[in-house]
Amino acid sequence: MLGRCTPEVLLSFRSHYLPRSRTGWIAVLAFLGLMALVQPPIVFWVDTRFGSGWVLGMPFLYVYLGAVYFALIGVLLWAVRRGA
Amino acid sequence: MESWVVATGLILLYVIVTIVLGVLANRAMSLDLEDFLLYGRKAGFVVLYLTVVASYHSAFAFLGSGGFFYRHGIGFWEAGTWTVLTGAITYTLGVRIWALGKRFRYITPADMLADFYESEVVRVVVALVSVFFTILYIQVQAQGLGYIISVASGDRISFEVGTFFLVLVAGGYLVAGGLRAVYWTDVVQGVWMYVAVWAGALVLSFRLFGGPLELWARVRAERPDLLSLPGPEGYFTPGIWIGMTVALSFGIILQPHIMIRYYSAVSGRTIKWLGATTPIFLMTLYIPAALVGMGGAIVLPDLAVPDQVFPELLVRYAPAWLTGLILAGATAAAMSTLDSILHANMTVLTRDVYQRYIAPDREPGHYVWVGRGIVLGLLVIAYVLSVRTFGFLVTLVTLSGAGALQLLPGTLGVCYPTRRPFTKSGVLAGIGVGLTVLYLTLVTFPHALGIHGAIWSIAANFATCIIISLFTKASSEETIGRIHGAVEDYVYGSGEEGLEEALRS
Repeated sequence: MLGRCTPEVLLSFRSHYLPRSRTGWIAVLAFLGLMALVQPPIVFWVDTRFGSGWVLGMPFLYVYLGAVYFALIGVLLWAVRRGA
Repeated sequence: MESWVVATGLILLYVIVTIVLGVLANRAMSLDLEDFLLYGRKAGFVVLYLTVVASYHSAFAFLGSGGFFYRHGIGFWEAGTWTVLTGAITYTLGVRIWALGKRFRYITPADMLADFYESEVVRVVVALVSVFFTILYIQVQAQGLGYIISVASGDRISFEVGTFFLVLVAGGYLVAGGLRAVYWTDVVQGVWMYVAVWAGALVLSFRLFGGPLELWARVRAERPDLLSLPGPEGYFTPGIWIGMTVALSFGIILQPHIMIRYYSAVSGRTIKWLGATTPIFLMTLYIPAALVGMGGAIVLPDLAVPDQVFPELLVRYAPAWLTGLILAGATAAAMSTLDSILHANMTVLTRDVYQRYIAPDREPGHYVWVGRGIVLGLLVIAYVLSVRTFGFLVTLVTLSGAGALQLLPGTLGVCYPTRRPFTKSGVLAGIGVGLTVLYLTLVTFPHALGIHGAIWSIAANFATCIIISLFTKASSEETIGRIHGAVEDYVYGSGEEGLEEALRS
């Protein structure tokens, strides 16, 4: 009772961890790239370098992290609209 | 009228609304197990959205986040990383879980893993790990409810009585209306908590400081240590940052109350939209929480219990009616998660243990009643834990997530076809080693080398699972072909159309 795939199709599986479309690659790379900006060591470097700064009356780190989070959500919305 | 009467009265009014919804859900429910446990797999986007965000955000977000900002500063704004990552995981992994659940009629997470790994031991281990670690989550909600009612009433209603009463209400409407009641109340609770946390934070900011920007200026002038990493007590080290990101994204997603929500969706497209949009709600809730926590650190610097900073600020500095409405929102945040976890644990214990090993082949109504009995038993455990043990809400939830995280290799093995699948021995050994390492890196050598125990444990789990799987027997080709074939076909083949066709044939 195989799904709709034959054993031959199963043998031809390509990795499910890697995207198979251009849209998928763009979405994954953009998401991972942005996520790296809010993970160590980059976020700690940003804090050390710019942490004392102030943007629009708010702490730099607060604005920086918020901006990246919204960009990450933007990637997800872009992906779902493109049907990735 | 005294302010505590107004505040407590509004919380009680909110409680009555949820009870009414539970009763209405009960009238709409049939004694069908799939309806009671999975909302008949018909949850649309709006209902699913609000129930997922309401279940994800709990006393942890409403009370615990304020406490963490209060004590550890801006580092807790890393919360955005795990909320956004949760969306991406829902988008990619959640949709596969949904497709397999629909295709093979899975109801619990253990159904899926036991089917793929052809192992009843896997079923029992997954069920027990799920239930054990989510009991901590239940404790967090019960504890939060106790904080809310005791602060709102000015300690006229004790922590113990408040916890008992509100836990009883959540269990009551769940027992009455099943998942339908949980979803209906979650819709109200999700909206209420979001409005409440924003309204409360803004009102307090303007009343106490003249606005959010003035609040930030005061923090910079008086507590600059709160505005940099790793925070005043050095808590947010790189290792802790990454560990919390992983434990509170993958670890929460893998808990049964979230996985069951994936099963209940009406379509895979709904799940994808859910993944893309829930981070908006989840992440933006921490924006006002930062104002509450850091403002509280300026105004009330000597709080004995930092998790109480939000209700304490409201009771002292906001009008009574607003305090009542906002604390009703906090109650909503805690109850919506509490009922969801109770429901999930009830489902797991009823389906994976009772129905399979104790009393198979009974009428659906019999299992519904057994499920109700299990809820009552879990409520007793939650109550006892919450009044006997205390810990930071955030710490408890992170531990809960780190425990559930141990199901990750097994779940990925099912949902992501590979040429060399994980085996049941590999998955079981991985869970065993992972839990052992988790204990060692949380208790014996807490966060060894500055790295969160969640990271140590999941690394050990994956390594063990991969190595053992290389030398042990995989599931039968028929099973792997059936399940991985269905994933391949759904994701890269005929999609939902093919899924419907396969179900009809």
